[in-house]
Amino acid sequence: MLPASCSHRLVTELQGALAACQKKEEALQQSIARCRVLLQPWEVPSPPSPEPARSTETKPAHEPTPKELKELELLNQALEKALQVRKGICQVQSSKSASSGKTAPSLVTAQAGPGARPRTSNPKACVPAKPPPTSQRDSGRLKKPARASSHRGKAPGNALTHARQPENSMPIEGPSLCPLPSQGQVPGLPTSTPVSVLREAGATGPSPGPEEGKIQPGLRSEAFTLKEKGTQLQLPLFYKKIASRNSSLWAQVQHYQSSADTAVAAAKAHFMERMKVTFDLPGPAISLAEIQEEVNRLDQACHLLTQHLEEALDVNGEAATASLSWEQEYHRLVTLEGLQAAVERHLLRLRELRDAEEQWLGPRPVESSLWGSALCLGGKGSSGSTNHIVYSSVEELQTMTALKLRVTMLKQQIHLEKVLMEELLPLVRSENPAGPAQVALYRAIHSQLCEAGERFSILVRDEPSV
Amino acid sequence: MGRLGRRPREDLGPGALPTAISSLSRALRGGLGPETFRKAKFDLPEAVAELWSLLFSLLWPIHQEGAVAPRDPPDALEGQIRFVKWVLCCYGYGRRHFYQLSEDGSYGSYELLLAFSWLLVYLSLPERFLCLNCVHQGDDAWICLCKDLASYPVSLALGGKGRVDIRYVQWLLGKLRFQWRSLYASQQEQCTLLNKIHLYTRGCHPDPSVGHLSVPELELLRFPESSKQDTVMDANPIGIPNAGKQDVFLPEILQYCSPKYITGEMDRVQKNLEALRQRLQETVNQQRAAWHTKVSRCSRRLPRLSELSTAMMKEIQETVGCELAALEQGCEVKSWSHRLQRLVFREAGEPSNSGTHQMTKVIQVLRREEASLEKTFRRLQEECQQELAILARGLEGVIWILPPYQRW
Repeated sequence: MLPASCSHRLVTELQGALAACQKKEEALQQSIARCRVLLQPWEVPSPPSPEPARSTETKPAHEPTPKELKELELLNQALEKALQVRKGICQVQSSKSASSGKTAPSLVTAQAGPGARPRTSNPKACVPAKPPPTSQRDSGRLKKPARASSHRGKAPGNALTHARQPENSMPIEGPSLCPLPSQGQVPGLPTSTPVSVLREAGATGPSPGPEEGKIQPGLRSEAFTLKEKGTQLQLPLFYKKIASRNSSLWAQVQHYQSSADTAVAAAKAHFMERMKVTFDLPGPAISLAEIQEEVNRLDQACHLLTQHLEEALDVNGEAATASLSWEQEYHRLVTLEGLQAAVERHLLRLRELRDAEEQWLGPRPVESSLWGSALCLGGKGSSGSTNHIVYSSVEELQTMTALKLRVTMLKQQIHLEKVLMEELLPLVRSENPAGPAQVALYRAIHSQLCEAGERFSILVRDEPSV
Repeated sequence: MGRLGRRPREDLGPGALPTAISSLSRALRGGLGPETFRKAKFDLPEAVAELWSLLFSLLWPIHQEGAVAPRDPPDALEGQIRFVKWVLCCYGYGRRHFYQLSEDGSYGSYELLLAFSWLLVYLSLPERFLCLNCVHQGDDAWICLCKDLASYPVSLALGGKGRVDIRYVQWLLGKLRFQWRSLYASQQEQCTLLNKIHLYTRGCHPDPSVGHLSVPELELLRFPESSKQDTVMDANPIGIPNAGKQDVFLPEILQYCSPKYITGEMDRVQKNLEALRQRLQETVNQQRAAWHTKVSRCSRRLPRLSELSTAMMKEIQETVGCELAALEQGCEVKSWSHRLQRLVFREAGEPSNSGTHQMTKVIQVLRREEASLEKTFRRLQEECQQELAILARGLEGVIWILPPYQRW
């Protein structure tokens, strides 16, 4: 048995390592599950919508009442009118999404005449929509915000129905979204237009009337997989708008940050100076937080220097010095001396930091023993705008992640090896081998420390032959 | 007024300040209004408690992020005040009056306002809010490894009480090895799946430089009812560049700043540096000796060293100088690796913009690091080997047969 303190430390470290691995594995599994779900066939979910009117549309055989038929009439007329209007202004409108946002609501409110909310009346009214698909195609692409809500659940559907259009990046016309059974183009997620979409009035206007383009209650929609139809998906319009607005705002922020706005920077600096003048607390000029940052920097530097040393020594694969050319050898020598000087500098700096820290450890204005464990600084340099990291094949991605994992694993292994060395080697040095148990211990320690636990030595008792 | 030093707009006129304050109030948690700031300016006592709690609510989550054993936040104002003072002390805030403020929150709103403003500039809080609140709809690929496994703090509670046998330790280590293998397999699987998704959705993204959808974006389409959608909508910026969300989440990027921890870190760094120094010493001496013998051998034959002219030597010295200086700056990848990256798939041969980083470069850097870490690891093992070899020789009555030595 190992001594208590040794046991405790080893078990702590190992359990910690296992826990960390476990966490990472769980995260990975979650991510894998998410991807899998997306890659499976996308089915039509039955809408759990709270709107009572909505539930009726899932019934396959839905017979419109006379009242609804009348509403439908009205809506169809309005639709045709709208079509005329749209045809006329489609060119202009396509460049001004904002203005189109206004037209849609006005159309919708007009059609909402019968008092029912557009959403509720529409599904029923949508049944035999008349507008011929061809006319919409001619009308070109309009960025109708009204389309947005239908796009929420129907993006795949829309795209499917009119995927033949060359420029698929723009959302497609409304009335065409009332698919006739005969068209045979089946949207993928018709009824899943969620309530929340329609709840979201926002910038995209209320849900459109007839352009709702809900699937006819009688239609069964097919599932489709991402593989087949993935390239035809479209993000919902409201999302695109928000995303583009987001990126333009970020660009502004970046501009402000990087434009070296001297007035702002000067104001900041001036303020800090004024504050600093009023600081009257005794203590070293460098704060604890800065000490921490510098220690980290030194740690990083040490790591890099070690790496450089390994590389310098490994030129020509640790070949004999004689095989190196004069330049190479001189290069190596100068490099090593340079590294030496750098290490000395770092050690000196570390000593200075230690002194400063000791000054802080002395009398402080605040009782700090309570917060002994962790106080975290944010890295000031973190920026919010994302960069793209580009890969061009799945092997590349796999290689990178495998390497990342390997590097982390090696770091962990090195850390554990050091811990094991610290704890187990003293056991080996101190006691003299007594019985077989001790010898077995040595064998285990040897195997772990020297062979990473993968191979074992063979110990044979050397019995004097009798 | 220089109190709130950061201005979101170019015009620094008097009208800009109220706008700045109101957007700041909106961005901060707790429904703090601009009146609080105004009251504090005039050192009115009503604003004191609010400001203390504001400071605490900003600074406590930072503390919590890295804590090994998460604590409950102190409920009493007193505890919160002490905590805030400690944090500001760590950051080097040096106004004695601030630290002398009483712990019952009865006065000092002006001092608090100053402290808050200082913190705002020092930590660049508005930008920090932005970074943390922005919704990342891409597939994240953190290149930077510093947040990864090996740096997780170990909670001492895991240790258990009693003594264990070496076999238990061996078993745990074996378990760890299996974990690594399954992690590797899972990761590879994730890569394939991600790649498939990227491939299948090419052409769908409105941003042409990205070109395909990411998993969060696809989920938006697949599950429109999900709550994630609300997040997207809530993230709609209000129109002022510095406006953030209602909630404020604080940085994930951690460093520890407590005396015990710092001392521990310093010891570790010192040990590493000293070990490196020693190693360098030996190697340099070796190299120098070899060099001198080489030189002397040649100079015996020739009066002057023709193979290596002094000009050449100078050139080499300069090159090495540059290399080492670059080292000090840190690796190129490391500088941008701390940011969030979005993973983008692009066929080979397509043009790439300036803002992108190629994965091949990352792979190169990682390979270098892997090689050097492997060497370090091997060196440690060899050290152990030497030490244990001494032991093995000392064992009486036992023949120690080493396993067949295989080079990796």
